[in-house]
Amino acid sequence: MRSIPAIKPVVHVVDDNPAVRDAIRWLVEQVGLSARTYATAQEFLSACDPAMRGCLVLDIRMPGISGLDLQDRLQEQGIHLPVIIITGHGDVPVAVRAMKAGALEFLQKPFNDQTLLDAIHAALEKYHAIWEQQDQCNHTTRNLSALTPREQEVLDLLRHGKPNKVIAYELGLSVRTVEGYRARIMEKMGAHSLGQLIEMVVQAVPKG
Amino acid sequence: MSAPPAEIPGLVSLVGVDRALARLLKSQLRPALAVEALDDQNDLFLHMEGGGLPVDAVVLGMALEEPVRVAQRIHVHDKHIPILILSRPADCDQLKRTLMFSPFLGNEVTPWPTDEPDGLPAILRQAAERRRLRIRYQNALSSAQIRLEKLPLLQPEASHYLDQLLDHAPIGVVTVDPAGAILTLNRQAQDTLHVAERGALGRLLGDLFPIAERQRLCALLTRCASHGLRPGAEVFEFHAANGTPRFVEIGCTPLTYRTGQRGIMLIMQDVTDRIRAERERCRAEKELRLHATVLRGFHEISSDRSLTLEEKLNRLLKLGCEQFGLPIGILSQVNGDIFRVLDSVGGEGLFPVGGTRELRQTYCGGTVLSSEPVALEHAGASEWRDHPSYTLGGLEAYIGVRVQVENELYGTLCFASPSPRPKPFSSADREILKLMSQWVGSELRRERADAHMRKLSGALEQAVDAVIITDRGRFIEYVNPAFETLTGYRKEEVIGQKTYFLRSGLHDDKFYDELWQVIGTGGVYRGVLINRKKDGSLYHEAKTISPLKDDQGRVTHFISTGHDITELVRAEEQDRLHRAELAHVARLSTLGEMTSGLAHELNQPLCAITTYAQTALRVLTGPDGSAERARYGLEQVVRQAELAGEIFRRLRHFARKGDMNRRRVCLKEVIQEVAGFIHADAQQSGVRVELAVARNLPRVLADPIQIEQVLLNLARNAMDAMAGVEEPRRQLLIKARRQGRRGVRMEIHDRGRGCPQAVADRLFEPFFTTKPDGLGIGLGISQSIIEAHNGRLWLEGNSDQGATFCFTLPGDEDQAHAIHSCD
Repeated sequence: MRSIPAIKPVVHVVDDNPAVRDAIRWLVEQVGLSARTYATAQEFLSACDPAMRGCLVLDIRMPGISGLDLQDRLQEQGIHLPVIIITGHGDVPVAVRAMKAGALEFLQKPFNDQTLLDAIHAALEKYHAIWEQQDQCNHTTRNLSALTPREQEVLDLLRHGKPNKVIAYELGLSVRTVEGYRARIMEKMGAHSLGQLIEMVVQAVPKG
Repeated sequence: MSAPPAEIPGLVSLVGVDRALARLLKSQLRPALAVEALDDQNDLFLHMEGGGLPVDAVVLGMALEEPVRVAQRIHVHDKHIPILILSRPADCDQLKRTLMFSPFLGNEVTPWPTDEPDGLPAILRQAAERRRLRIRYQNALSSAQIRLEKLPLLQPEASHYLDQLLDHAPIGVVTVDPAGAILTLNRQAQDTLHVAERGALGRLLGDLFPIAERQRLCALLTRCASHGLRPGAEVFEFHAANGTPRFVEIGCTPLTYRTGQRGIMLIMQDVTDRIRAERERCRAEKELRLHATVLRGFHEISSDRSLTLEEKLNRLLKLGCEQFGLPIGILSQVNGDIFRVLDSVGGEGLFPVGGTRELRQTYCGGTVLSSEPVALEHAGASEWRDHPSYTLGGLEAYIGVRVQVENELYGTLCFASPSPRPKPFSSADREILKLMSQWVGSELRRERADAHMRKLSGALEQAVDAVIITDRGRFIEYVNPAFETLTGYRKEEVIGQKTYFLRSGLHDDKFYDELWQVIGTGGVYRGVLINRKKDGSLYHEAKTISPLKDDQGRVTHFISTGHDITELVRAEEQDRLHRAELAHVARLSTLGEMTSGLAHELNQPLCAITTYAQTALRVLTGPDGSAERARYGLEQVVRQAELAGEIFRRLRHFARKGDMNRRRVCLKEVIQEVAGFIHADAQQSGVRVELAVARNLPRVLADPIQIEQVLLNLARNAMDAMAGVEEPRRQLLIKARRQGRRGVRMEIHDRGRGCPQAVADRLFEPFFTTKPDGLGIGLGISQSIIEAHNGRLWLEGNSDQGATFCFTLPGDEDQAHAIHSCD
């Protein structure tokens, strides 16, 4: 059933201190995850894209764009990445703001290695389902766009639960022709049953 | 002197004298004196009136009833006859008084008592002798008089001498007979009358005088001759040979010659000079009156404050027209070749106000070249008849003069008429015109100066700056409204005063001396003065005082301008204080901020170290743990640890060297400052702060901010140390006293629980702290600072009753003499 290839998650580390950056990278790599490091928030922003999979380990106090600002920017751009905040001097207001902006974890430097790894794993786990669904939607959307206009008309009527005969009548086609379209649609969308097809379409295009 | 007439004996008359006495007297007085005895006084009177022998003395006997009356009657004839009145001795005094008060009696009446007949002859002899001497003297006088009268006749030389004297007398003497024919005249009279003696004698005096004067002269002579009076002298005019008028004053006296012929003597004096001088004086007086009239006119015009300058000038023109009898009066302004009519009276047709002409076309063309007035009474009959003013304007009479303002040509003042002037212009007219022009000049100048002054004073009145003008003696003559607004003093209160009332007392005498030194020598003073307003408040004034000088460069006034910069000064002062405070706080907070920054900076390597080390452990304990894989992390740990050490070294370096700003510091002030800083904290923590600062504390060379940081740090530590003890015990004591000659020792006592020895040993180690949120560097930095000052910081007392930190700051022995106690 899972024919969509899962993108390997990457731990993105944004910290202005090279030693901390490197230490985290080294730690993450030891547990088999891949990591990419960025010295500034700006550097990360220019590299990221919505299809990114993984999590963000973010220092709050940085020159230029601060960690909190970066969180805001990501939300604006519709990039959903789990964020783990690490900071040298955590105070309550900053922590609250970070959590409100959707940070999953707030760690104070120096942190325990296991705590960080646990946080990273928890984040990846939590977002895995979301990413999967997102991948499915993307797949369906891509398939839908491969349909011919006539096929789309047929699919649209199918979605509304119309039988072949009615569809044929409404489109001025023969029943056999409609059946032919239906088979092609099923094939193109990779659906095994009409029910699955309808489910896929409804998930991808929620509004009829 | 001729011999006395001794041949005639004197005569003594006895009236009413009893026979015995008469006999006695006769016998005693004869032969020098003849004595006649008369029974009745009437015999005596008959004898005297009949012109008999003069009586030399009279004795009135007791037989006479009224001797005083008889004596009076005798003295009616001759007051100088001596009289003896016989009287009873008792009545003598009474008689004497009666005689004293009797009229008609001479001095020679004497009462004689009857009981002293023996003295009588001697008295009579004396009286008779006196009488005889008097008569002789009188005779001599009258004979001398007779001789004197006969002198000219007897001595012709003397007469000639007198004539010559008369001839040389400076006055003329003429004698005429009652009909007025000349009898004699002396040389001076000949000169005066211009006649020779030969031609003059016998001529009527009146013929020598002009016809106009003859009658008056005759009247004078008649008055003198007929009434025998001396009439007052009179002055007569006649013409000298060369025709010039001359004046003689003639006085006359009636005269009777010995021949009985009557005549008149005239005394003549040439008074031509006197009369001329008098007439000249009259003329001058008249002229003066004329001037005075014009001047009065000027004065009335010029002093009339209700008139504008234009009105004044117009009136002057009218006055001039009246004065000179000319209908046209013009005041012009001359500018190069242009003659412009400023004002015109009576000549509006020819010379409208504001009209211009070419200067050459006017009589004034010549006038402007001369300092004297130009005048012509009848142009048509003179060389002026070709002048355009005559040929075109038809002006016959003209008088004009130039007007100068401040020695520069301004224009002309002139009067003219289309008809000739019958009388020539007199010098007085010219003078008056000159006066008028001078007056116009000065009026114009005054107006100019007034306008200038109005501008200036308007500017002063409107000025935003306060202005004071004083005379040379520094007494205020003027202040402007801005001054009143600024100081609150009213103009009337300050004029005539000196400016001392403004002094605030904040400047010393030397300050003012210097100020006056500058402006007294003609310089301009600029500076800021703190002065006092009327309400007592002080203000800062940016002042400029400059002397005003007259033409000769002498200082006559001082003018002071200034404006209130109190707000500016206050703002600057506040700004300065504020900035100083900010800088102070900033420097004080450096340590705090640095600590915070340091925390972050140290946290980074620390975080990296932890992560590397933990990961290395993870690798080593991992299933395929290989030391080689862990190596990378451990190497990084070492590097990061070194980095952290470097950071801390930098910090200590900063504390030692950073921004040291040493000067002589009074530690008492530093301590008080710190006490102020911790006051709020101490109250909040319930800590009492006590200071014990010795009075003889020397100043030390130190950076006060750094010392404050150390003190502040130790004080905060102390307060933190007492957080756990009951409140009454929380007491912080800061002590300062002299150490050695010039050093200071400071102690900070707390009454906390102290600290265990193990802790005490490590107190100064970096990053050692007993506080939950402490960094463990405060004491380390404090120690660095004190050591940088060549002092020492240590923990002195430590028990469960509290701890004491001490530090010392040594004095600067090399400059011992420059250090003073700060008390």
